[in-house]
Amino acid sequence: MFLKSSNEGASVRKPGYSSTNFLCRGYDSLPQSVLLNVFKYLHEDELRRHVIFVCKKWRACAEHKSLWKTLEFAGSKAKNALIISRIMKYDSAETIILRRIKEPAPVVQQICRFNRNISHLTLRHCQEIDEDCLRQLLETCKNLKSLDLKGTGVKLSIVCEELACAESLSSLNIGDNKHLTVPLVASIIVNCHHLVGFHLCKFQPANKVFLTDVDIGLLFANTNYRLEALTLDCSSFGRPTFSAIMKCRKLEYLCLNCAHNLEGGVFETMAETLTRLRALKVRFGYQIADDNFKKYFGCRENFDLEEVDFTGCAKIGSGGLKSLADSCPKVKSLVLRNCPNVVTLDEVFCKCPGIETLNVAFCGKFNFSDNCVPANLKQLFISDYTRFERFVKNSRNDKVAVRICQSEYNKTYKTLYVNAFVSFVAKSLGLYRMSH
Amino acid sequence: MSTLNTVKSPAMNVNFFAFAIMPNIKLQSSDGETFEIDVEIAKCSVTIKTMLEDLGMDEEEEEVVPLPNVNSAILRKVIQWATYHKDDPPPPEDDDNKEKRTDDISSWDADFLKVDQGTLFELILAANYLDIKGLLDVTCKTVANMIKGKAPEEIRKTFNIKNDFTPSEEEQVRKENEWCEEK
Repeated sequence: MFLKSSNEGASVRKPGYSSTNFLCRGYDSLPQSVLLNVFKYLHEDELRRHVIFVCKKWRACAEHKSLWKTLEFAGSKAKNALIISRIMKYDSAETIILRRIKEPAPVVQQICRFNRNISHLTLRHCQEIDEDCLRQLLETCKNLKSLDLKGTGVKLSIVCEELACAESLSSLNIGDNKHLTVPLVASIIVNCHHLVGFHLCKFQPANKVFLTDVDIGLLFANTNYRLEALTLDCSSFGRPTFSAIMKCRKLEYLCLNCAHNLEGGVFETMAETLTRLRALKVRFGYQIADDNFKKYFGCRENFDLEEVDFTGCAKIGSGGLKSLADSCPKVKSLVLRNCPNVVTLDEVFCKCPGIETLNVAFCGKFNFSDNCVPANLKQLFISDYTRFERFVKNSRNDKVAVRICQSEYNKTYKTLYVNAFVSFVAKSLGLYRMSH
Repeated sequence: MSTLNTVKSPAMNVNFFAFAIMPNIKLQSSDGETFEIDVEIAKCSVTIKTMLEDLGMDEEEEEVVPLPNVNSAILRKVIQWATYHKDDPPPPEDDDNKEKRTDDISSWDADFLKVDQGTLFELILAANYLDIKGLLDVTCKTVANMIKGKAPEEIRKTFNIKNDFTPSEEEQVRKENEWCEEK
């Protein structure tokens, strides 16, 4: 009777059966429910790349649809038949990410048929997406919370009404879209009352009429009480826009691209009102002096920032970074690409132990000190092999993916893993240098 | 026994055990060793708790709960774990949206689980059979941590698993899962 709930894997053992005898038993004999309990802690990518190849039983478990909450398809290898079969199989996925898919329309139609409870959909750079299938999506998937249409060129004027009616839709990314115009942006912001996340970068309208401070002032007057996430290109804005952004007190994510008009003094005061920020990205803020960074991070003892990106903020240096290290213990991602005044990050590595992503590409003066690299790093962006050698020399962690960035002007990179092979290459590079 | 069968309310069960004279229970491992422990500690196992409630196993009768799926070495470990965690708040209900966090294992648990693969394997089976959610979660997280970042061959080696795919089957699996360019 007591055996009624016994597990499938273990039979009743003879007395005296010691645990050491079990060393010979493989983990493939674990019951399915237990394997699922293990696999639920693994990322879908881990399942797809490694776990399903282990053995047939593990494969069968790893393909259980309860484990597949996020599906990501990208590039030319992802054929439509394959994508559609996966969408049908893993129909309880909450997030579907499609990047650069050649024929996205049939895929979206299948999502509407099999996965209408989807919460997040990304269709980045899927050029061929058409308005009809977008309309069908917005009408069918009533739980859709975020939609990313960056780089698609979809004519949003046609689906404006559907966007406004999609009540659960709270986040929209419409960047890099040649059909977008200022009145259309205004219409979307004003009419979609449920939007709390709004992302617009690479806004290059065909008629060359850009958003102005006046537009932003009018638009944000209605939305500043609700906005939680914002991405904007700031090259055409001045102080009034930054003041308007400062009034969006609920902001948790702020990304200001081309922020060269952002004055140091204005940046400094942003810390006072934007107290909920978890992600702060200010790119190419040329005017912001090291002292302004110092004052920004000196304004409070503790920031909740997890993502910090100061790409191209040429003046940030030791003062600002020390202040950042002291007040941002939760940082997971630190991007200082193209910051020529960054020399050392020892203090940051020491005080922000959670750093998983570090980007120090094109930081001419920066190098790693001896025995000082972030302990939990997963991704490192650098732009040359000298730093790579130095990193390999000082890192005990061989699971780091090192991205060697190719050019200051685009985001292409080569990936190397710090494993035995790579350290061998680095060593031979070192020898090569010594012999010359 | 029969009287307790009629007691359906969990609250009354709690009362019953609170007023019991001997709040201990005897558990017998597969190899015949008996462990006498506090009933409240034993009840962190849903399996034992259900047995006590459904069958009204009464400690006054000096009855021993046989656990034919757990040997003494493992049962000792399980009791050690349950004793340390006896005052833990009940584990939260499964939430599908929770993060896949595996870095939140307490240092006591991490030390406790510094055991060989065979013992860990048995602990998982025992936690599953005895239905102790806390122990099952922490052992599964430990296994997940050991899988992370490993290539299939390394995983097989670590967990003593035989590759039962033929090369052509393996190729087929590879094809079916190439949805994303390598990062």
